[in-house]
Amino acid sequence: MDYAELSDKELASLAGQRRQAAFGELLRRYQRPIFSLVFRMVRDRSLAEDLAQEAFIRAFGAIGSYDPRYKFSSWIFKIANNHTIDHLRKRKLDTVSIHGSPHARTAREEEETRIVVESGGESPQEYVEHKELGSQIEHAIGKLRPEYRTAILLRHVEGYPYDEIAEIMELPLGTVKTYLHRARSELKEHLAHLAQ
Amino acid sequence: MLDNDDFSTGFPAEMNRHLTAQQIQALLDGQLSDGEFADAQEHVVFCARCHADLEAWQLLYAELGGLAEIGPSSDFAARVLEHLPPQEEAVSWRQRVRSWIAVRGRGAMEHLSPVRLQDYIEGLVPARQVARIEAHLSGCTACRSDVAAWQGLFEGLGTLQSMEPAEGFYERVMAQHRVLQLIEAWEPAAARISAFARVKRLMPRTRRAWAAVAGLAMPPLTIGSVLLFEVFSNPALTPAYLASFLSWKVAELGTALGSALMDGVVESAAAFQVYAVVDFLSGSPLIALAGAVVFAALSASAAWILYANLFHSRRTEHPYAQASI
Repeated sequence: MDYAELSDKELASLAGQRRQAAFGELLRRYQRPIFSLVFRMVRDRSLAEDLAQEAFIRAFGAIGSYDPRYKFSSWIFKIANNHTIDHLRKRKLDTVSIHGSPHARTAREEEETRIVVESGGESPQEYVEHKELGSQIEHAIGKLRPEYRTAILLRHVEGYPYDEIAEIMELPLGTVKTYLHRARSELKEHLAHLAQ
Repeated sequence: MLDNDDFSTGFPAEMNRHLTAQQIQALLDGQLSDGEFADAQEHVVFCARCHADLEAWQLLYAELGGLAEIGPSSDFAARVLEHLPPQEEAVSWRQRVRSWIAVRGRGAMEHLSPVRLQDYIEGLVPARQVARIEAHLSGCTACRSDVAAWQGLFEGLGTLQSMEPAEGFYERVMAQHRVLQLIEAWEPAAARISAFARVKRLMPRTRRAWAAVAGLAMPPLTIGSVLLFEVFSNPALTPAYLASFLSWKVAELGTALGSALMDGVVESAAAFQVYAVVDFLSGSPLIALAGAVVFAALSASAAWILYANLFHSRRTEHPYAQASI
């Protein structure tokens, strides 16, 4: 059986029967987006890996409770987001510089934990501008409230529609729209100096 | 009518007052009534001062009347006409209604709100409203500038990319998942699940926690290992010797504990008093029976109090307390 060709729901069903390969395929599909969301939420690579790992373990442990009427992606993002938000609330670690982990004690550690926005197929000048813009945006996103940050990342990085974001964040659709509008307005204010 | 500055001419009082400048000008302009004109004329005939004033005003009037008319240059009219707005063409009533609706429409949609602009850029605005927004944008520089700023932000957000976890992330997650599955598979009873959950709760969850636990455990492990090495590296020590030594030590410890217990129980004052009471009661059965009844009653009361507090109260717990659990 080629697990790569199965849908998320089929894989979840097989995972419910304790098929290791189904778990593996689900992890392969979602490790990058889940880690990416968590990383941008906590701004610490090591911590993000721990939180993402715990989120996957929780999800796999509770695979029997997954309701196939809903999207698997929404379900796993919901688990990861709730876990990360819980952590942020406990640790109050919501604003950290993108220039490196706050736990870094040496320049090397700081460099290793720095967020790097990759780009390809650009001229050197475009690359520099792109990188600078990306950094400024990352910095501005880091200043947002965790709820606003989740909404922005799900919408603009993962490309989820509003209704799925509402499902993931367990919020009414109107609230999600308000979050996104306010988050973008705050970002626009933070980035206003770039337009001048 | 006449000035209050009297002069003695022998005329009535109103005739003795000088004419004011206004009265003289009104006289010359023909603005006085017939009566006033007759009075003023009569006064001027007999008053040298007012007569002189009248002549001075007449002279000024004559001078003003003799001023030549100064006209504009010949192209004055042409220059003025050049600056006049062109004459409006005839506008039909339909065109007037349309222009009125257009003006009303523009007034109703002042500037586009940030929410409206974001929805417009994301394509979330209904098609019939898109036309109105675009019509507004075509005539509103401020909103066009806002749209450009919002588009810049959306493009910037579009440049954000997904990030890869470090190498080995997949293997770590799968390994932990397999271990947990194995542990869960070995749990035969529900009672063990809670015990397992308790143990699992104590287990470190992050790499930092694992590092901290390892750091704490390292000194005693190291010291213990060194001591064991020192003990077993002695050539005189064999496993048989060690086993006989340990069994001898355990037996000695058990004997010491047993004898200490016996000494404490048999030779204690409390044991002697209990023996005296039992000896006394064995001589009088009625007192022993009464004591047994009292003991049974007290025991029953204590059992009821325990039951009421420990078991009965749980079933009648407050609903809010149950809901909050």
